[in-house]
Amino acid sequence: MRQRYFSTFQLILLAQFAALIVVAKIALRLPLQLSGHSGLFWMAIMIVATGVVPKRGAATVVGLTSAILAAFLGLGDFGALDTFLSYLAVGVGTDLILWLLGSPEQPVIAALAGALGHFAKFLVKWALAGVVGAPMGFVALGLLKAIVSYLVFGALGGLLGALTLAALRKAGFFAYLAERK
Amino acid sequence: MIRLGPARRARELRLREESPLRRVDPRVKLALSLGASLAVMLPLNRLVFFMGLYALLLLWARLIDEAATQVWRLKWILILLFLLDWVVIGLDLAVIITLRLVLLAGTFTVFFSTTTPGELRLALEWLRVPHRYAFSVSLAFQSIGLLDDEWRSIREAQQSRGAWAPPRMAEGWRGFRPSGLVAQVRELVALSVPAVVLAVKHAWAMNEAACARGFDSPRRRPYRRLTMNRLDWLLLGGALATGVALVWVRL
Repeated sequence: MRQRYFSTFQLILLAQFAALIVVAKIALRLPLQLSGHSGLFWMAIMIVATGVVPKRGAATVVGLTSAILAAFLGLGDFGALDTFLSYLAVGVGTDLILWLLGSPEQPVIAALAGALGHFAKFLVKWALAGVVGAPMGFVALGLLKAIVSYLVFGALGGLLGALTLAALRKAGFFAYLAERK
Repeated sequence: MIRLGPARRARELRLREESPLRRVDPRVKLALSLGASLAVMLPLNRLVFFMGLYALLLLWARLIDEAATQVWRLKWILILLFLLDWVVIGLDLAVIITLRLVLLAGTFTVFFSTTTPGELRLALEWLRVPHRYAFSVSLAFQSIGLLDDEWRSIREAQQSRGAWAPPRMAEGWRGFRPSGLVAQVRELVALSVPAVVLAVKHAWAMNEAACARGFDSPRRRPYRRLTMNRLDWLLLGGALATGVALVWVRL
């Protein structure tokens, strides 16, 4: 039988992480009154997913699946297309950063991947602003405060992801996982 | 129906059973939504004409309220952007940008409000997306409610044991204690580790159940296939004709 890049278990697992992202986005809201704070759990789960399934494209699969789920559940304010592209961009962005930087188990790398992966959402907003013809300067100005907040929470999320991976490794979780490929 | 989140901010995945589009093939609805998204590239007069047609489609499909809700969530951004564009650049640009944003916000209503995750899976398989991925997506839909319940239980259990406490509403950013951000993040590990273990256990149980039913068998046959009916062809033909007319016919 042909060897597949992701096993069925890995695909189901990545889809479960995507569901967890959507649940975190909706149900686990910290009352911080700051935009982008949901990125804390979002990026943490994304980083954990890339650590648990250490293959290129894992974050993209999580991003794509969470994008479909989020669009169906009507998350986001700019409609389903924006939601879909934003969630997907976070996954693709995280994958690209980790491809360049290396293992998500290093806290600094995880924080960077979290911050830049979360920032990819803004590239989608800018791109869509460009498509509709909105003046990009105003859009950038309007998003300036939010950008800082997104970068900070993305980095914290990445850090939380790395700490979670370290805790899982310490608890012997990866040995348990190795039996279930 | 999937319902999740606390009562105040609950989200629901509710199908509009009363809509005539509910009976339409998901591939056609996806094509309609994607086609409508491309209409943002039309010039102003054609865009206005297209939006009139699209509003008629939504009216017929009994989805106009759903699309209006989506646009209403954008009201302040639309007003601000309209005023800004009008003052700084001109009325024409302000109108076209507002219309494009309205269209983008409401364009996928016809798909997401009338399609079940199972139908989406069939459409994905028809689009040559690997069936294992399409299956995992539909499993994720079914897991959302369960994960929501279980993760909330974990959070409440951890809070009752003092493992971590969410910052208070009134304190906002300061409630997160910027001086001890890393320490706060470290506390959240108590919440994320059980969630990850939960997701893995859940995934493993589903993988075992699927394999036991021959999911990975090379002789696997789908239980249900999508078929196009007369209404599907009519809608698809109408959408194509409208697209061609909008691009080539002079208004």
